[in-house]
Amino acid sequence: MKKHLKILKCYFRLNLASAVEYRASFISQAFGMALSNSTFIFFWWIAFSQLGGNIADYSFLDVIFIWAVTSTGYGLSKIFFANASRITQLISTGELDTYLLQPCNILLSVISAGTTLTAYGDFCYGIILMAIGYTRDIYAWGWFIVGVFIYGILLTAITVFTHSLSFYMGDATVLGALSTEFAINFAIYPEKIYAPLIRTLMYSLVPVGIAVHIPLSLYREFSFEVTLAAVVTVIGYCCFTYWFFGRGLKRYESGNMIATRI
Amino acid sequence: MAIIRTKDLTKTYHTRIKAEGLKAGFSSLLKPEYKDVTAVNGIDLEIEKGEIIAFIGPNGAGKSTFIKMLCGILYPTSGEISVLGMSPIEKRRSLTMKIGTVFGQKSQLWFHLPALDSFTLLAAIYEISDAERTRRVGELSERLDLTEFLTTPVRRLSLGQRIRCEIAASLLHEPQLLFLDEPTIGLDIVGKQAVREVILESNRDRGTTVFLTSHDPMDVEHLAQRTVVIDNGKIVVDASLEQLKREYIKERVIEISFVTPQRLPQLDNVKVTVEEGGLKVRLMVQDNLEEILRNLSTLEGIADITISHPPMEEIIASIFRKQGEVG
Amino acid sequence: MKQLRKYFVIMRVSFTNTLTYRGAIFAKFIFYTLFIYIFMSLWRAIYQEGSVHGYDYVQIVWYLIMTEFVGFASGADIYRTMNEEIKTGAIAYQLNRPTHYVAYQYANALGQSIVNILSFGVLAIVLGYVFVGPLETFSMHTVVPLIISILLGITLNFFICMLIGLTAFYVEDNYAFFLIYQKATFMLGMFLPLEFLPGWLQKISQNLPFSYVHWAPARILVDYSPEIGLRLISFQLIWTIAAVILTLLCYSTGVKRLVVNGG
Repeated sequence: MKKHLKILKCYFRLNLASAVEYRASFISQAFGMALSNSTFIFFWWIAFSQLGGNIADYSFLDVIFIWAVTSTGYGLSKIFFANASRITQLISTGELDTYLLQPCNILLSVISAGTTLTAYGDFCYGIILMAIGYTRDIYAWGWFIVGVFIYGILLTAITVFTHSLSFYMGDATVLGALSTEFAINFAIYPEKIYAPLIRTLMYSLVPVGIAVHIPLSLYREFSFEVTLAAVVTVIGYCCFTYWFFGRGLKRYESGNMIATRI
Repeated sequence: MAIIRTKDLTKTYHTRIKAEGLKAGFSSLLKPEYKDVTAVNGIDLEIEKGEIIAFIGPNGAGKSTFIKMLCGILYPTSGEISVLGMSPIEKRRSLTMKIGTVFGQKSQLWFHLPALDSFTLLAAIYEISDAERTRRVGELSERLDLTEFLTTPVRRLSLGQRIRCEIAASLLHEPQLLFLDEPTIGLDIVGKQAVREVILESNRDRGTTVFLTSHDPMDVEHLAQRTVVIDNGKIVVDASLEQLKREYIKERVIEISFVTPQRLPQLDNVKVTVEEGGLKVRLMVQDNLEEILRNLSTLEGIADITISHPPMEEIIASIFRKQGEVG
Repeated sequence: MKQLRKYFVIMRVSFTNTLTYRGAIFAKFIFYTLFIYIFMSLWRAIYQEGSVHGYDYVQIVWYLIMTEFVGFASGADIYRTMNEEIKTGAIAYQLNRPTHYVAYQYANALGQSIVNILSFGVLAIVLGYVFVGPLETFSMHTVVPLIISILLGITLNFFICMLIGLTAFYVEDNYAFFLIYQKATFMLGMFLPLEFLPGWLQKISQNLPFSYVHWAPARILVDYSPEIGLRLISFQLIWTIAAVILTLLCYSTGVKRLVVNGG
């Protein structure tokens, strides 16, 4: 475990060093992402100033909270584990070989070997939103931090899960992109806008509801049962993903099939 | 003690047949058709510690599938493998601590960063202490002559410099067994020579066992003590270097261009091909190279003359021909 | 005449070429449907709290179907193409071709756009009917002005993106410009009808080009009158002409610079 933390630290350092090699575009991309996120808050500001009160049971501050968690959590996942969304590519080109030849946990070293520049902007943006909306509300900050960690971990797990499908059924790029899109859009709007069927998805296949809407409800009113259920689901989902990836690895063909044309 | 031992090792790929066209595409979505392709077909092989083995064969013969099974990248369909006394599948992690790999185009180095940074990461991965790392990086950069460009981002290095860094990266944890897949591909003569020397040195000084594939007959001739040829997933020839040289790589190709068409003197034991109406001749020479050259020196109007090995494909083809005669 | 024929052929080749990427179009269909579904859900929730500025629920959903349609139909990523061509120097090889580079790129993009307009057009109508039913305010009189407005919106978007891409001749990193443009169109019409914005912002935005990419065609679709059609289309036309002129200027000075300084 200690060794893997050291490797994780090493990957982070190298990723950051690669990013800093292109300083100007790093800053403009990170800043641009924060700006881009602001346009959504602009939308909500317009909507709430027209209607006042609540939309689908969420106040403007509630929306700020779910946005902050999603943005920082997304940033966390994409700063440390950006490579999760490249798994399909690694499988089809056979680049996965490099990781299989190293004495480490494969999944962990695969997902931590890349970063996304814009993610630094997402990461900071959520914190800025919290600072504006919940300045000194320690309790809200607490649930924010919990939500960010869960969102970061779950988003990574969801991405790994969908991309692991490439081991079983060929190219899962579209499915991977789609699951990310779900993971974001389930999180940044009040959950009640979605039909009940979609809402079940939000707590099962793409369980980001646990990372965003549950911390918000726990902030409003704490419940031990809900907390326990949420923790069990998150751990269960991650374990399942880990197993699913490992099982898929046995079917890995190291890019050899590309050469086979019939 | 055998360092690698395989018994009846087989790998079959289960491939989906892709249908062309929209209609066929839809029906294959509903009812996909599969086809089995056997890449490695029952290979038995034993390699002793300290050997340098060249593994050759035409493209698609099953070379890389075989190597990848030895390293634990691919799961075999059936058969047994033992590498350094371990099963690559069950003990992948402990095995990787003891093997090093250079796989053609796949890089272990970070493209935008200096090689030195990659070495630091690899040291963490292979659990090498900081002091030990400094010592080994120093030693390797001296042997491979990397010192000048160790702190230059990899993307700015020449191919030769990069391959040398790749080899240093794979030797950093002092592996007992080294897998090299086309280590000299794309290098110039000097680069090839440097790479070969490092491989030989590792083998001589630390007894590293080396398993390599190559399309360059010179690699095989300079490095390998033993050569295994495979085709269609099966071993066709397993011979020592002497045997191989005696029987297969003894041929040289002499190509001569003339200013005006010439008639060649009578030569024994030589296969002659005349091209471009006598302006160009190609001689396949067996073991009497010196004598032939002496005879040729009497010719006039030579524009250019080159002597080379026949390419690997021809050597392999001649091996297959001999096999056919025997069998 | 021969000149025009040439560009027509380029367009046709690009059209058939785009048709071969059925998988990519199908993937985009999924995303288009997803976005429309999410926006529909969102606006349904908002409309439960009260109605907004004369748009009823059915109109707002059709409005968003149209703005997203323009976005998906635009297709060609000319901004990135220009950046790559300039940074790699590939643009220099285009100079000695007997076609005008800007016109060539536009014909190429138009070929792609036509495929997208046809395929996404069908999808858009199906989605609208399935999600909220027919648009009561729509009549056959709207068809011609709507098509003109859509084509102008796509063209305007193309030339602004090309112009931003061409700034790579002069600045190291033009990503910030592109982002600002993208977000401005997003806020000023794509995500929200202009009428929803505060009065002062509406005034400013009606005098800027951004709203004429998405807002204009969507506004014509949901509530057409000859006056509003004429006004919006003439603004679109003016901004498109301005963008074309600026693009041509930026291209010719940039290329001169490239030739003089040798890349």
